Amino acid sequence: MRTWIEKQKYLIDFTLSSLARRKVKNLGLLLIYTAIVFLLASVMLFTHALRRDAAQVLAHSPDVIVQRMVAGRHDLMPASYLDKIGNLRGVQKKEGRLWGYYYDPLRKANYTVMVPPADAATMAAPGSIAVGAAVARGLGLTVNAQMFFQGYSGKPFSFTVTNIFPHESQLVTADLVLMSEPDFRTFFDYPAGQYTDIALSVANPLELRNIAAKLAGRLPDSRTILREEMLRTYESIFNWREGIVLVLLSGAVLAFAIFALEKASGLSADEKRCF
Amino acid sequence: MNLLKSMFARNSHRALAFLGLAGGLFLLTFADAAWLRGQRVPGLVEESELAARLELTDLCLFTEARYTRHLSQADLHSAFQDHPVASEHFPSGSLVAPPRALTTDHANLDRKTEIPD
Repeated sequence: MRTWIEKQKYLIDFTLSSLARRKVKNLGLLLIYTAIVFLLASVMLFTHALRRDAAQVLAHSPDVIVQRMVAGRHDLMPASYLDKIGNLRGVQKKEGRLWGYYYDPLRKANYTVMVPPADAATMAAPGSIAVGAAVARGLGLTVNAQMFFQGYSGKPFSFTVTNIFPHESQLVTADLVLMSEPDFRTFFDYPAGQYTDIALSVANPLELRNIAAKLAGRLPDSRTILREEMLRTYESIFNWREGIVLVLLSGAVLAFAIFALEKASGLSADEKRCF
Repeated sequence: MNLLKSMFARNSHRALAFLGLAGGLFLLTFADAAWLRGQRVPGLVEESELAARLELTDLCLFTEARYTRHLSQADLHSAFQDHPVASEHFPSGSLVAPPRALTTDHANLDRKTEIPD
């Protein structure tokens, strides 16, 4: 055993002295390998963390979203569609959602403006808004500050900030602006009796596909988005085979392959002389 | 002191000590990750509660275009903005692949579900 250990030590000594002969080149290679591993590991760990967070957070999103489509594009949902859905067996709750986007030309930023559901209506009383931490940081807002927006009718609107979502919830609330339903409708000049989409909550998850099929029959111009599809969307965008991960991964793998090829292409003239 | 000197006299000893140190630091990263995970739990609970309460459907990753802000809610044509051959010009659009739900499952979901489970 002792001889074996000594042999290994001599081998390490020999390897190190061989590497030291071309110090700059080998140190450079070490640095490049380290950078590639660092880049790959960072992307992998970061996307894994995001995927895990998405799975946990979106497990609480609505069971089914129903969107009305006009010529292949998302359109407003008439309130009468809530009656058309009627009393589908298994549907516990159905509610029209109001949400949209607001581009703030002064600050060159996009916000997601949303009306809280009826049972969370206290989160935004008329005349007040709740904003995400990133919005508050970007605009220098504090609780009780006044916020001015130009409405879609051209009129200026002023809201009091009553709540700022905590920094920890930024992954879902960073750009969010919550306002009450009357404020939302006047601010966006939103037609009465229309919603952005409809959220359904279903008691039994096994019934989801049957309910989606029945909805497709009752509302042929609408499409349903099941929660499992929302989860799958985030599962796939952080998948190593797609999107940003693939771009970074292919760059790193290519760089790694070039270095490996360079090493495998044989010894240099200098190295040949040594052996 | 002399023992320490003789221990690090050979290159192989120094290399082994360095590898041992690097291995120790590597193990420490797991402890650090576990600690950070513990720290993150209240934030995650808060996010989950907000998602349930406000019926949120998407993560806020990119805010520049509606189809990258609400990836799961985008319709098949939203990336083309105004007309079918308009080029997709938001940088974030090139960072996220079209959600699989849009390109495969959604299109024939109703047909699939016509068949009794």
